[in-house]
Amino acid sequence: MKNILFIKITFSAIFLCIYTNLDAQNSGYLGQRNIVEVNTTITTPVIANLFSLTSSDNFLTEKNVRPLNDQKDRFDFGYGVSYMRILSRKFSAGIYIGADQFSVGSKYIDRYENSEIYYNNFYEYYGELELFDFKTFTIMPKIEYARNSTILPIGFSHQIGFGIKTISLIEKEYKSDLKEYVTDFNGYNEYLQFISPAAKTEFNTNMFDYSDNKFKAKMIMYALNMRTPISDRLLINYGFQYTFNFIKKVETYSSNNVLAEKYWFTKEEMSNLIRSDKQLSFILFNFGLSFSF
Amino acid sequence: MLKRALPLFIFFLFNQFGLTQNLHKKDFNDYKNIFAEGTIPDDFSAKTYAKINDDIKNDKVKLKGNIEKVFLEGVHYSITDLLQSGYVIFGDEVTSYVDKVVGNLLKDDPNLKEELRFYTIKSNETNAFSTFQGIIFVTTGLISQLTNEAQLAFVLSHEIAHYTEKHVVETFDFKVDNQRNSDRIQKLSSFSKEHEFEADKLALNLYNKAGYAISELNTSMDVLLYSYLPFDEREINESFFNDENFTLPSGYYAKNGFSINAEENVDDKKSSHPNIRKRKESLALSTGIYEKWGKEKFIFGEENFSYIRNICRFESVRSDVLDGQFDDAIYSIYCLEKDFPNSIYLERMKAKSWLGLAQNDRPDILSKMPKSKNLEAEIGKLHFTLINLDKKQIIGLALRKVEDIRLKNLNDSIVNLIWKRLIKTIASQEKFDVAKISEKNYKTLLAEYNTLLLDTNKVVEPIKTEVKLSKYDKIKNSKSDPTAILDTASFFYYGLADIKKNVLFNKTYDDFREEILSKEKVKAEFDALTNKEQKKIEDLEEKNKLRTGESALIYVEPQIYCFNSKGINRVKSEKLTENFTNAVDFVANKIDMTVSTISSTSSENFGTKEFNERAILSAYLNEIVEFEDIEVFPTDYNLLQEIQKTYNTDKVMFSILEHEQKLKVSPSVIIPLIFLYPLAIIHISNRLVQTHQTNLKVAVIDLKEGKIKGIESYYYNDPINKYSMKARMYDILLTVKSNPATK
Repeated sequence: MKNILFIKITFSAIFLCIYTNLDAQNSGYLGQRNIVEVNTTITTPVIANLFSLTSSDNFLTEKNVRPLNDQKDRFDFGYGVSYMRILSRKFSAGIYIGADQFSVGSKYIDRYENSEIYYNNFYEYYGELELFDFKTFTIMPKIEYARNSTILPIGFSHQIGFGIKTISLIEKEYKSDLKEYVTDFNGYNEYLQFISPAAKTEFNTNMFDYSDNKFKAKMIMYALNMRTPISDRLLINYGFQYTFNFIKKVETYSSNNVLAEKYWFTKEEMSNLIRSDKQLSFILFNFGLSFSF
Repeated sequence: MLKRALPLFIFFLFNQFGLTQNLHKKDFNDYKNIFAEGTIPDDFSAKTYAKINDDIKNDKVKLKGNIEKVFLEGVHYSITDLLQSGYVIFGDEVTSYVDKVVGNLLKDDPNLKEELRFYTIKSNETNAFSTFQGIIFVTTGLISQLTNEAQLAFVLSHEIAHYTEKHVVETFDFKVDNQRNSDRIQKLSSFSKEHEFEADKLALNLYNKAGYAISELNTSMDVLLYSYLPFDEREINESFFNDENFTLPSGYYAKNGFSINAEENVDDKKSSHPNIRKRKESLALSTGIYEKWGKEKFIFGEENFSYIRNICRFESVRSDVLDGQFDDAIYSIYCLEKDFPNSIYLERMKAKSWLGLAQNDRPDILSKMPKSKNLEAEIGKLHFTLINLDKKQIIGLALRKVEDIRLKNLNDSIVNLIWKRLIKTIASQEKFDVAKISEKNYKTLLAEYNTLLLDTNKVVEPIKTEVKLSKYDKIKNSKSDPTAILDTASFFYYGLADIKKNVLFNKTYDDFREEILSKEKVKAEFDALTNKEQKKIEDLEEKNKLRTGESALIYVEPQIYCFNSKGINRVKSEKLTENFTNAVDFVANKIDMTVSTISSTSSENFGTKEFNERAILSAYLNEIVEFEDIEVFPTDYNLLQEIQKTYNTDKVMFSILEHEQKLKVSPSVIIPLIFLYPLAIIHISNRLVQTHQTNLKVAVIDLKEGKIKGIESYYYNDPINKYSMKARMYDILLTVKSNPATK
């Protein structure tokens, strides 16, 4: 409800600007003050990767014997469409709607165990799990400001946006490389053994509750953008942006609930995974085409 | 019948177009400046990058180290700059005359004649030079200094020799070879002097063959020696300043002329040319090779030469006025007035020169004149007076001179406008007090005083002699003595009595005073406003700087300079100039504005007429920029009026664009930034923003009011291409078209 109110207020402000700004005689690209942009976005979560030890080779000592390959989330791609209305020579406002995809490691590694541990009820699995894939949908009103003698939309501009992002886990069969401790028949020695196919299927089935996989984030965006005209109507645009996503941190562990958990990963755990990843991968490059009319 | 008529017809043709043709088109009493005529030659119209490519393709030059492109770009673009500067003309009477003299010199070498092109530079520099491309330039300043055609023929032969011996290429090669030598300047000087001796020697061949007199070789050298002096010597006596109304105190006037200090045998160690003594000696040696010498000083007639020289001398007046050399212009006019006492052109230029002296600040005027210890020749007398007068005195003298010109040319509108502009200048001056102008001139007062003395002598009044005068009475009495006026600095107030009585002068002065006072009132009201209110007004003025509310405009070819890390990229600059002009045409159509583009890049609409118009407008722009602090009266006022009529608008736009593309990421910061990834993004982005820096300056000039309507500077950080130019011009032209805002 609060989110809807936030968007309503932002939209009202933008349209107020559109209809009240009168210093717009010379603005726009050759007088064209409406801009539709189609963009591709690339995020390189370098910092997230530095901190996300799941993707670090250093601690995967048994790498060669496992079927699951090391995986790093090097690039996250997305796409988006914007509509911008030029309000004056230096200001424009509009809205961005976009989608992208990113991946997050399932859990932090315990350095001393050299493996991940997954708990569920009375089961303990050790090993690795494929990165979780998430898709996002963003709706973000934004304003644009240009300095010097720049006349929007061409040239360098600064953009600030406030938006809402919904994130959902992509439903698929995630590869896993899980083992469990079993005791030999004498009951003296414990050793690790790959879990049975049945247990694996069960793990996948009950990994997460996909029926309730929507996460919401508020975001603030700052972008440095550049547009260069290539025809009387088309411009290429490119630049980078810093995006700060605000996802509430929630308590994931509650001893009272452990027995009641049906799924291996709770929504809270996922939320915190996304939160930590998004806090560390905030730089995004974008390029695309702008059409003016 | 036909057989008998044919020789007559040929004789008629020979007389009309032959060697002795005498088609003097100019009326010097109503002189019209020379401009380019006929079809624009390829040298002016072809793209420079195309010329360079052609030369490379045809292996026009071979240089050590494969630096042909560097050489070709250098020579072609420097000549393009000159050709498009507005100072160079083609097809005019002076150029045609030069061409004719060369035709005679090269009558035995038609191929070389075909190869060479001759153009005139409207400049007071005494110079001629040849280029790698086969273009030979001659300045009007040179021709104005000559005394006969033979001297011109020798100079031209000398320049032709430079071309045939490829001295330009050799000098470039030599410079490249010696660029790291510590004594390269002296070496280059010696090398260049060898070229000069060689050119002199080879020039003799053409000169001798054409039949010119040997005696004129030395006089050609004299022309060069004394070329820094005016083109003639005419004595300046007291009547130059004084007339029945005006008397200049003797202390301000140099009775004796100043000596001329030019030396033939100056130290030429670091000069590109040998000194005159050496050149004369070298020529004397070389002349011995030729057994036979002609006696001609004029092959095409003395009258023709004088006519052409007079054109150049009239042009030199214009050049001086445009350059703010008002003192030189006044002296040149004084020399020309001997032969052309009724020339309205000279009268206007003289009025304009005195106006210029009155308008400009003393430091500006003095900076263009020789120092008092360096005064030379008759013109030194004029300099002596002008150096010693202060601003008030100059204004007084200028008012007297301009008034005299006006009285002589009451019906000339331009003279009247200059007169008005001078009165406006006086009205805005605190120093010159019109109220102090005496009702009687010095000579009247002197006559009255003498009469009084005579009367006093007749009437003996012994009592009076016994009156003991106090010190202060003596001072007061001395002030009432008219002879004391000449010892005061306010002598000029006693030479303008007739002007003070002039109703038109008083009305014009009062009107301007009122205008100035009302402006001062507005300024006082502005000062009384709060900061916020002042800011609001300033913002409005800023907003209206370029707004004219007019839908017609003359747009003069932009000057575009693109720089990269190696310096100026001339090819890119030239191509962008073309794009820029196209962008203006595109935008004009789009916003329904009549923009008349005067640009060599739009070859369809650019003929000789436009070439000349561009030159006139550029000269006017230079004048405005040179004298930015004063309300300059256009030297080419009538020509600018014609342009206004042609294009039906009085607004002209000029623009200059400088674009620099340089990646400014320092390698030393890259490695530390790798470890600070987010900061690296910020740093590199910031650097990338500064990779492209464009500064576009636009000036709109109001021809009617004769001043700059507004100048605006724009700074951009984006790459520049034809579409971004369109966007910029869309904004600018729309601003110019829009009406001034009222709030």
